[in-house]
Amino acid sequence: MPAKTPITNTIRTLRFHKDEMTQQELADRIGVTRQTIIAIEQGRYSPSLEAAFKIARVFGVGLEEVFQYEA
Amino acid sequence: MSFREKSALVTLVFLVIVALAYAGQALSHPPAALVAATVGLVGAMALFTAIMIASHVVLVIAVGAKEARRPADERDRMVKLASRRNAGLVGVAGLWLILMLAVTAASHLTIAYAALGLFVLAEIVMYGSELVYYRRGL
Repeated sequence: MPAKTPITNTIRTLRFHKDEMTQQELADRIGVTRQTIIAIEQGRYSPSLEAAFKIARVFGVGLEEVFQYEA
Repeated sequence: MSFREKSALVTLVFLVIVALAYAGQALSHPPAALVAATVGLVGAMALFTAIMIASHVVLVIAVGAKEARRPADERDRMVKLASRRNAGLVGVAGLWLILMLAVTAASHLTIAYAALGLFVLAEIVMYGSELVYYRRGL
């Protein structure tokens, strides 16, 4: 059972609405690997603050529209 | 699987194989002196190094040089850090075993084998941890 973080995200949905951006494209734009993007989307990895801000900037939305914290 | 994950898997598999082969050889035909044991150890290390070089050449050809040369990203660094921490914990815990062997007047060869075994175990824990963290998450 993969370890899930308490942080969920809507990256997959946002990618779809951004001209169906691929995971590789997003990875290239924020400077991580495609596997890291996959891990973030699946909740197996919480990105650094810097990476989180970069992701939000790629989609042109605020941080809380990309990531949600479930206590 | 990323290149780093595949590299960790290959390293872990061959590390276990070579370590078990060396341990089997050392236990079934214990060397008479420390010099003979050292020669055997150097041979095992040379064999492991050769296997690592060959397997990683194959791996680079399989995944492509661009993917293999890709620098580590933040997740790769976190996985490496956490894995090294686990290996360090094993090392520290095992050190007490070595100290106990030393104070119980175990032979030099026994202490040397224990130290080597501890080192190999720590490496196995490190690469195993990498695989778990890559698959399961941090």
